[in-house]
This record gives sequence, C-alpha cells and structure tokens, in this order.
Amino acid sequence: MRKICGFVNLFNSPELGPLTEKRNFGSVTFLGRYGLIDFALSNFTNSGINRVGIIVNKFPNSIRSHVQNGSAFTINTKTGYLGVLYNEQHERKDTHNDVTTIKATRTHYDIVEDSDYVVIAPAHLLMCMDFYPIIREHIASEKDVTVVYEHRFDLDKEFKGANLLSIGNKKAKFLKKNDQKEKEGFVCLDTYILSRHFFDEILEEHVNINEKYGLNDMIKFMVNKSRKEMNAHEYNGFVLPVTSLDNYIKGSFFLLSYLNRIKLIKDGWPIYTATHNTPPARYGPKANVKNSFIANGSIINGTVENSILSREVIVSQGASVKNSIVFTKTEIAKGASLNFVLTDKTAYIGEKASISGTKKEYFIIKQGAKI
Amino acid sequence: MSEKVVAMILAGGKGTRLQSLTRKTAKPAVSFASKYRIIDFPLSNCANSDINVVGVLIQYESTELDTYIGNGEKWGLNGVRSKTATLSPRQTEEGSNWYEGTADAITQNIDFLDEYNPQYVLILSGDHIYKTSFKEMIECHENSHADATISVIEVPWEEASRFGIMVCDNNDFVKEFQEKPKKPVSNLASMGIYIFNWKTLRDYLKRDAKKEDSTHDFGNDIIPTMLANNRKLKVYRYKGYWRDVGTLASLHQANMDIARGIDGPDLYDRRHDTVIFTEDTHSVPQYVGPLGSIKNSIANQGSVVLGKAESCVISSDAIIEEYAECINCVIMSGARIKMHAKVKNAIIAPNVVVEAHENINLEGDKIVLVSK
Repeated sequence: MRKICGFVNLFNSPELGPLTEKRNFGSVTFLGRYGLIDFALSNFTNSGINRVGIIVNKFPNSIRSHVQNGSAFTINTKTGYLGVLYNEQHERKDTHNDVTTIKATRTHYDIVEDSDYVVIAPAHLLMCMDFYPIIREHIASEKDVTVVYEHRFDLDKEFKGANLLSIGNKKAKFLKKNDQKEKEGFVCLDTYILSRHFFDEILEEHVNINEKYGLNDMIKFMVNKSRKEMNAHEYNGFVLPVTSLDNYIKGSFFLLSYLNRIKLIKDGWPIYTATHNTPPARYGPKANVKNSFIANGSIINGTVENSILSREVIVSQGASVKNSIVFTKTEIAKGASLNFVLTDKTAYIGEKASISGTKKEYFIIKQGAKI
Repeated sequence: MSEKVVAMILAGGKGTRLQSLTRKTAKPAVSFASKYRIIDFPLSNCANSDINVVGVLIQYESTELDTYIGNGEKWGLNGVRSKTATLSPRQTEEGSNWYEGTADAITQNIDFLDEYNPQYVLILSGDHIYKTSFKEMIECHENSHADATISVIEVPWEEASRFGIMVCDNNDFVKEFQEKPKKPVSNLASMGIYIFNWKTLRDYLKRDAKKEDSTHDFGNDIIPTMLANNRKLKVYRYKGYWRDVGTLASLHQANMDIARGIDGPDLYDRRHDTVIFTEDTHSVPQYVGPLGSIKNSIANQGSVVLGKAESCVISSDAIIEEYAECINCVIMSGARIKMHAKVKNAIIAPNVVVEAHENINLEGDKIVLVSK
C-alpha cells in the first residue's frame, strides 16, 4: 500500500479586496456556510488522504480558528493529521514562499512522514477532484510529476497569470504565463502529484537554485533543467476559479442556481466544514424569502431575494436584502435595505438605512461597520 | 475520582404513542425542531449545568441512540474531567436482565455510580423538551437537607388528574404523593426529574430490588416508600417551558411552539451556557427557491423550500417542491413533498415521499403521522 499525503497551498491564492485585508483567503466565508479552503480540504478527505498540511501565506490565525483541531476534516483523528504550516521568520522577506514555509515548519515532517507521494492542491480553484485515480495514473506513468490541467476557452477573461501548458501524448511542458491574449489553451490547475524523492529534491535544491522561487517555479525549473517530462492529467470536471473579488461574487451567485450548484457540490462528495452549534434558521410571520441561501442561526422577518446569508444574520421586519451577500452575525435593522451589497461579519445596518451598489460594482461594508 | 453530581438519563423506553416514528428509533432519538433530537435537551442541560458525568440508560432500539450519543463529544461531555456513558442492560455474573422499571435501570448500574461515588444523583428523562440549568435545583436540594428533591410544575387544575401529583406542606416538603388522582388536592405535577442523596437512594434501590411485588419504578415504588418512611422529600418548583413529548400531538405542538417562536425554549440565546448542542450534518446551506415562501417556520441546513411552508419545522435534506404546500407540518429529514401536494397538521416521518397532487389531512385538526 503506497502512502500519500497532501498539501493545500494558499500561496497562490488571490487577494479579495477588503475580505482578505484581515483574514486569509482560505477562511473567507463562502455560500454562507463554508470557508473557501473547505473545498480543497474536502477533496483530500473524500479521496481518502488522511494527512494534510495547509501552507499558509498570511493571517495563520484565521486559518487555525477555521480548521480548529482538524477533526472536522480528518478521517481518523488519531492516524490522521491536519497541520498548519506558517513561517513567521520569513513573513516580510522576499523569500516568503511556499517552499521556504514547508522547509521552515517542522510540522511538515509529521505530514510527509514516510509518504511515497505528495499531492499539492490550491484553495482558490473550487472543484470536486478525486485524487485517487490521478495518483494511480501517476504511479503507472513512472514520472516524477503529474500536473493536472484544464482545457479552457475563456483564458482571455479568466486565469490571468496562471501557468499555461503545452500538452502532447499525455505529457505536459510549461509555456508562458497567461497574458489573456488567447482564448483557448491548457491551464495548469496548480495541482500536482509529486513522487516523494522529487518533493525532497525540491526542498533540498531550493537554497541552491533561488530562494525566491515558489513551488510552481521550482517544479518548472527542475523539470526544464533535467528535461524531465511531466505526466499530464486532464481534469474534465467543473472548476470555479475564485481569482478576484469580482469572481468571488459572480461565483457565489452562479451557485444559487440548483443546476449550477450540483456541478460543484455533489452527492457522495460532502463538503466538510467547521461546526458552530447554531440553531436552525427562523422565518418570522413577515418573512419573504426568494432564491436565497440562508445559513443556520439566522432570524428573518423581512425580505430576502437573490441573496446569500451566513450564520446568525438578523433581517428585521420591513428590512430588505436583495442581490447581496451578508456575512456572519450581521444585523439589518427595521426598514433598512441592501441591494448589490456585500457586508463583512458583524456589521450593523441601522434602521431605515439604504445602501446600494450595482451589479458591476458591489458596495462593500467592512467587518464590524455600523451604518 | 468522586463527582458531586452524576446525572442518569432514562432513555430506554419505546414510546409506543409515537406510533411508527419509534418503530426503529428510540423516543429520545426522535428528531425535534429540525436540527435536534429530543435527547439533546437533557444532555445539553447537563453540560450547561456543569454536570460532568452523565449515564444514559438505553434499552429499546439502543444501537442508533448509542451511536448518536457516542462519547458525548457533541455536548462537550468528553473532556478530561467529563464522561458520557451509554448504559444498556448487560450480562453479569448474576445473569442477564432487561431493565424492568426506571428504578431497576439505576439499580443495575449501581456499580457505575459507585465508581464516581457522587453526593447526589440527578435522575432525568430522555424525552422532555426544556432548557434549564440544574444548578438552582441542586442548590435548593442542598439547602433543604432533604433526602430527595422532586422537580414539579404547576399544571391547570382540570388536567391535574392526568399526572403524578405532589401534595406539600407550607415549606414545600412532600406530604403525599397521588398518582393520577380523581380528586386532586394539589396541581403540582411531578416532572420525573429527581435529585437523590446517593447513599440514601442506594439503600432504597437495594431494598426495592428484593421486593417481589415492586414495579421497580421511581414514581410507583421508590418515592412512596421513602414517604412512608418519613424521609424528607422537597419539591422544587420549576418555572418555564417544559413539555413531555410522548404523543404525536404533544410532539407536534412542541415543534410548533418553536416554529412560531411564541412559546418554547429560546434556541436563539447564544450565551455559551444556554446553547442546545447537537449534531451538525454536512449539508449545503438551506435554499429557498424563486417561487418559494416560508413563514413562521424553522429550517435546518440542507433543506430546500421551492413551494410554500407556513408554520413548519423542516429538517435537513427535506424538500418541498414547487407548488407544494405544507401548513403546520413537522417535516423530518430527507422527506420529500412533491409538486402540488398539500399537507396540513402532520408529522412527516424521515425519508417519506408525499406524491405529487396528494392531499393529506387538509380538513382535519387532529395531527396525523405520514410514514412509510
């Protein structure tokens, strides 16, 4: 039996404007219930990978408080392990990257231990990916690296700066980064299966090659240097890229539709998340709710349309929330209205306040703001 | 290690009056208020009262309940100083016996209690809906220097003859216990919640076990014998919401109390020692569709309302399809109300499908159970 461990790499995560000013991308609320990192972590759990590390670029506490002791994600809480890797010493240096973080954190030994293969996955590409068949394919290929890619036709709009690949005969080579000049191409999904000796080699050689190189750069460099071929695995499932605040908002509303939602959240592939002991959502006598996600603990006695409400949101009588995303513990007082608004956690929208953005430009209310 | 109070929750009964809801499920494991099971209430009350050791006595359909309770983690009762044990009847050197009555269930677990050697034992029922801290009752018991304290609730006089009634003196010590009296002289009904001094109870249990004519029941045997022996029995007057959900109608009503938010335990008080803890499912957030309407209701994650829900309690993964209507319904997990179906005043059992265009109980005021 081959042993496998996994890493969720947060270093390639984008900034989401005010949402990531004080928290990590991975712990940003999504669909009112999840943290963005839950999708990557659940892929590991559902693929039977029990030892997982989270490579954190910044705000490690927001990740730690989201995953807690990991028991919400690990299959066996004794043999399994969910570790947070973070490198305080490099935080402000130009060598602060995923490789130096792995190297600097002793936790990585607990995760890698005697694994034969290491799976690296991003948090910002939301997908339902079973690693198991890819690992089998990797083993059969006898290559050091398998890279997972997607054939896309919207590269002029999406995946700016992502690594493009040339694919031939199930083998991949790195091309330039996506400058959005072409529509069609093969985009690297920042997902790799690495044989253990190659993973160790990356960690060892990093200091000699260039400490500013991240994992993607190192793989690219070492593959090119030794003229190794990478095994290429085409992913045919659905990918929701969360590469900007715009994408985050667009993606959230895209998933409101049931037919879209089942592309990402599938039967038999649960998305695990931390639990919060919240009561069921309550709908009062004046509740008027249409086409919305409502998380537990919310109390609704006003109008909610085309919106996504997180845990413990209060929508008072006569208040109206339309086309909006409302984070945890926000209160919308009597007669207030929100339209095309995204409010961060614990905001308070006072009586009769009226706030609107537009479909193109959402009005963002910061965490804890009182309006 | 000795504990001041150990709680013992009686959760072994079948609950025949809940009909097929308890065909394969013990009553305490029955779904309640869309997210909970009935036993979450006594267990959370224990956790919130700093009671660290809880024994749960299980017998009827014990596997599901046992699995649900596990090591007590859901209620935080698995810490370094806390413990939850499910106690089912067992084979011993003396032979093997089913639990014959509420007192017998405790008698058969005297060894468990001896291990913790508590000062007091709190006896609870696994099928009551209420939210309380037992701290006040324990304090009342300590201050009164009684041998036992019985929690009572004032019931309407006209209903008193349906309960076990406590007749008290001016200091709230029990003078007389009347089981379902025809002419009640008090309206203080026993809630089946007792605190006993463990040493005293231990003696009474041992003696009761030897009596051949005993039903080995707290209400029928232990309390009357203690009274006959002039033991000091105090009553603790419980104030607040408390319901025995032993019948379909009472289970439905208690659910409706919470849905309508007029009565019932306040589940939305988020102070840390007042939360009712339970299991969390891995479902997507609940969704209300473009044609959906939901009022005076509560719904758990994973539920989908595409039709109309008025005064409903909707569990996870339950679906009300487009143009379907549910009024005054408790819809348990995985149930599906198909298009244009109409259901009123009903409890819909887990995973039941109400077919399209079906009408159920639209004219009836009596609560019906829709089950497979």
